[in-house]
Amino acid sequence: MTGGAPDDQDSLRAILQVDRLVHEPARLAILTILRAAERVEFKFMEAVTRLSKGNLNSHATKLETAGYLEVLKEFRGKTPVTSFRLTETGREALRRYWEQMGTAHGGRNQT
Amino acid sequence: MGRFGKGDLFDEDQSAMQTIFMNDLPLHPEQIARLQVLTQEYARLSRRGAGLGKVLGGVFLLLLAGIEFFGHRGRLSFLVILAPLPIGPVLAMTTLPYLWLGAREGLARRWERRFGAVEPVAGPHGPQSHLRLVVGGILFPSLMLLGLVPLLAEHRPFGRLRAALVLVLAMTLAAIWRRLRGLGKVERMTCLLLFAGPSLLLSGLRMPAGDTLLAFPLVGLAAILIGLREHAAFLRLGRELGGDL
Repeated sequence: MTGGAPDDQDSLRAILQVDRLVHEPARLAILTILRAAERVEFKFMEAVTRLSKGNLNSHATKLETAGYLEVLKEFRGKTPVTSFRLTETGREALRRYWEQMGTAHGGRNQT
Repeated sequence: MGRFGKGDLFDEDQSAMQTIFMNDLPLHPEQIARLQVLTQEYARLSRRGAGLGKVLGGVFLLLLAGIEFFGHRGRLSFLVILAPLPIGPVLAMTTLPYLWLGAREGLARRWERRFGAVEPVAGPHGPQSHLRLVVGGILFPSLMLLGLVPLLAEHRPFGRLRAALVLVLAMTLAAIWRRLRGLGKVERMTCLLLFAGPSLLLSGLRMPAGDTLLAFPLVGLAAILIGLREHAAFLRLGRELGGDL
């Protein structure tokens, strides 16, 4: 017995290779938002994802550690402002993730 | 033999596992698409003062057209040099583009304070497209203002104050290009006309009658209508982000 049809094997392989760091609702949302803009402030990210500050920080740190996003800190007047930017590694990880999900779902790719 | 051989743990159950996995997709594709649209729309609209910057620009253009028309007692002309308007009203008009820029910036900051700033992705063709816009839409017109206006008006005394004001207007236009990233066509026209109008009035040069009498109010009206529509869209966006703006 072989491992089934080649398409099924590709799907299974794609499933097993999916980046678990990206395959998490909050982190996928963060990366999706960052892909749609050049730079996004913490406040907007908080409003649009409805995550708490602590949760957002925690997910952002994980993504930053993986090199998927860049955390930019600056002062606007006396107020500290935190922004995020998607790195090339993050963009590539997100592209690869959707490619794998597309393969897993029988070729339906997310655009 | 396939990649998963006989006795492989997933051999028999892969389609079931795939179904479970797909049911466990972290976000629905519609949610993904909505997040992208929401981010792009917010970036676009908040930068433009939620449409209100456009409305204000339109009002200022109507004001400029009115002042020029009534200032010259409604005289229609084609590329003639009229007596320049007195310096007082012209000075007041010179402040209009700055008032517009300031108000636009203030409005943008207001929304950014509420929900944070989002910098839009560069145009569809990246930085090159923005460079073309800057050179063709901002630097070239500002150089025209610097060079052509004094040249055409050379036979009339072009006082130092008027020359300095034209210079300041042209230099401002060249200096603010970074901030004007992501301008739409109507807003770009509004910006150019707001800077060009006072410059022409300062020199005493009258633009072709059709342009003078139609371009300013037409672009002004278009800016107001589009601005109001954008503002309504932004308010809907704000409600979706979880707060009244």
